[in-house]
Amino acid sequence: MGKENERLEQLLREGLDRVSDLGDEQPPDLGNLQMLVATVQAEQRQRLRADLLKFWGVAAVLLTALLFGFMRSPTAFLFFQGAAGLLSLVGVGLWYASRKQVTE
Amino acid sequence: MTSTDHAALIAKAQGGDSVALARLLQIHYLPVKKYLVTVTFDRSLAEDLTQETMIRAIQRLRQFGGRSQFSTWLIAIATNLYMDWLRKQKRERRLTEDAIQSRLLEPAEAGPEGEVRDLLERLHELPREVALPLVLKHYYGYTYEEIAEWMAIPVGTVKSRIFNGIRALRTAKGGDHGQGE
Repeated sequence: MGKENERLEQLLREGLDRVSDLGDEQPPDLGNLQMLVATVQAEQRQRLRADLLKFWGVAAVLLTALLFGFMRSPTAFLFFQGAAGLLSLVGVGLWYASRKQVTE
Repeated sequence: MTSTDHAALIAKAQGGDSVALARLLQIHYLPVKKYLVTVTFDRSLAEDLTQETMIRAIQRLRQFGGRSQFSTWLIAIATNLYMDWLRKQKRERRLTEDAIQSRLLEPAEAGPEGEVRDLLERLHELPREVALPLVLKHYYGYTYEEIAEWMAIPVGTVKSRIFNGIRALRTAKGGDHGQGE
């Protein structure tokens, strides 16, 4: 069995050596690869900038909405803030209880 | 190039030297392509995936922590990309099985004869998810754990796929022997 496996591995190695023989193929030249590096890094920087802008945009809208709500009606604002806090606590409690039931 | 020079090149590349990074990619370009040809049996797909691997390496270079060799890190990226490609093919079913087969490199094209050719044909016929870990383990010598991580499957599944792959190859080889004798 061991010898048979060794023989199989040897044949596999021999065959794949030939399949993957790239002949005298050369890798891309350094200039092309430098261009690729520059392009990919520029795209990455652009994406990062766009993501940051989106993040700041959403944050600004949310803060404006909250500030506007607080200025218009502080009582209602505080009531909704409190209710949201309580609801999230209840949600976490329910999730924890259901997890406990599953593991028991 | 010595391993110290190579480590220095990686450090330079990670420090933002784009020439060092380009040189690093150039050194590893053909070994990655060679690896992809052995697992895909498709030179044009291997070329596409090699370029994708290089792009991914540029994007994630800072994540390379030096825990493994740089070549192993690139093989992991290439394997991930190939797995994504396989999943995409399955999901979209854009190409029929016949169309996929027609793009694959016929083992006969590479020129091996006799036993080797039979074995390659059998390997070629194996599902790609089975052939991939088999080649990674028995041709490249990676560990079950590394293969499992790259393919995002449990170690046990890697072992069983390799076992089944070897059994399929051996059965075919034994059958051929039987006919020949």
